[in-house]
Amino acid sequence: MTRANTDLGNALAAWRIWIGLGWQDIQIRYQRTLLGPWWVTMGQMVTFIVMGMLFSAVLRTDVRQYMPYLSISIVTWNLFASIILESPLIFIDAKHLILSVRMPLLVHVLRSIVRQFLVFLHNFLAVVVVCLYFEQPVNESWFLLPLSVFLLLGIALPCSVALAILGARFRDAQPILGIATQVLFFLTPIVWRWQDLPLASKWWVTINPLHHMLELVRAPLLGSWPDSDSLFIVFLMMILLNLWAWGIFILFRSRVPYWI
Amino acid sequence: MGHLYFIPLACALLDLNMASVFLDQVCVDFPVYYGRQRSLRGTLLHWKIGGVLSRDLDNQFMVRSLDHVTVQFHDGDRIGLIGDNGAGKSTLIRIIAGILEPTSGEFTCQGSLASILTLATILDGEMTGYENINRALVLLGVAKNRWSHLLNDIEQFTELGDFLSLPIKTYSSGMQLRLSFALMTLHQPDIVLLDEVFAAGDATFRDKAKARLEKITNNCGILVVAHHAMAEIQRLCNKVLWLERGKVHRFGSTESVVAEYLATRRQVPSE
Repeated sequence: MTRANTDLGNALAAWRIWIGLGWQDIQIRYQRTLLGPWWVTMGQMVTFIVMGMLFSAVLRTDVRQYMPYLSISIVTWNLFASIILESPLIFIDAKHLILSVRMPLLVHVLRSIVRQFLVFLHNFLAVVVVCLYFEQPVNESWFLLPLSVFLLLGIALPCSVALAILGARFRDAQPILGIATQVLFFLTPIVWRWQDLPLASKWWVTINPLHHMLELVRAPLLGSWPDSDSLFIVFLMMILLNLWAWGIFILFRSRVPYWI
Repeated sequence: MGHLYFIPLACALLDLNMASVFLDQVCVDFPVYYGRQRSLRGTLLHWKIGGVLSRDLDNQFMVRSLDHVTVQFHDGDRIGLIGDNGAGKSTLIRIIAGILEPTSGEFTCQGSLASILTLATILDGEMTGYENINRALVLLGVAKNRWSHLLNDIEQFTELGDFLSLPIKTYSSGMQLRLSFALMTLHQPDIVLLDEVFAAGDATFRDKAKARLEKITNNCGILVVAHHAMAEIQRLCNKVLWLERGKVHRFGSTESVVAEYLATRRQVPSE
């Protein structure tokens, strides 16, 4: 318990290390490319345009309303999905570091979060472009966004810690999570809109925590306040997940170097 | 949770410049997983089915690498670790380095640490020499204002010149060694751990590396070296810890333990 505390304390105190490493990860990944990280933004734009045109036709919705909705949903979803998919590999990828340099384990997790968040910010620019193009009005509800992002990261961190530990122990965790993520992509209102769902099937969405997390970013950007239920659920989730992941971390932290 | 931030600070304030290492009844068991034990699906399935299938899954192999090791190292100690392959030398070094935590027993360590454990592993082949240096400086938590000074030091020591701007996968192994060695010896720590270093490199570099290492080992509080060459042990160390199958076999002055070790070894080839 105290050692887990020390790990967290030292990890937070070493913020220079994980912010620096996360930043360098991005720099190195795109170093020898023409557009650098803007490739990601470009790729997102292309996805939006193709999917937006296709699904606004299929779902018979107005492309002006649909495109901003779709772009925000996809970009936020990509943040969740990449955290779920990359977290199980955090400790495995950092194997050499963990076995040769003494540093808090959480540094590796925080580094990964920083990296994902930076990619998210790049993608978010694509959202801004879409919103400007379709003349989405600037609304005071936008001021809620920092809180939403804070809550999302407050959920991402404990999930990442737990999945990283799971992935270190069980090597097939990552492929299993890959399948789960794919299923969740269709179950969650990302491409389709939850307002379009028949009333009898609404509970599909109501019980989906991912929907509430998405709504926290989407609703303010589209100019409305998110449901107070969504806010409450996400807040509660953040607290419970943190407690749960902290328990897992206390129990298994010292085993991770043995597993990798 | 504000007090958590002060743990490193408190450690720094309490630093009395006296390095020490205590191990009390330290055991290390390595779990050996095989096949289905590595699989989440297999483990979940086995919960449900239970019974016959579970028997081979529960049979957890454990390799005991350190067995009730109790030793104390104090400031000024130059410890040589000897023993056969698999005796637990590297595991002991990893315990002292704080990389592994003992399965049971107590371990405490005071003083800043540099473990020159694995030389090449922190380098990334796709990145250039300079990028690797920058990353290592971030990793080691070096303050930005010391970067240019250290960079100069590395450039001079490695003599790699323009190669530093090339991806290090283009380096020869000797050149990679130069760079990783320079990076691992940036700091002057209180405790230095060496796990069989000098492996490659041409003669001039070996001399240079030796001089650089000697400077660090001479100024540190505690030195722990694992080595198979008794001549090196005798030159560097004033105490020797002889490990046998994870247990402390002998711990004492260099002359007596090395003499005893060599005596037992000499019998083996004459059989």
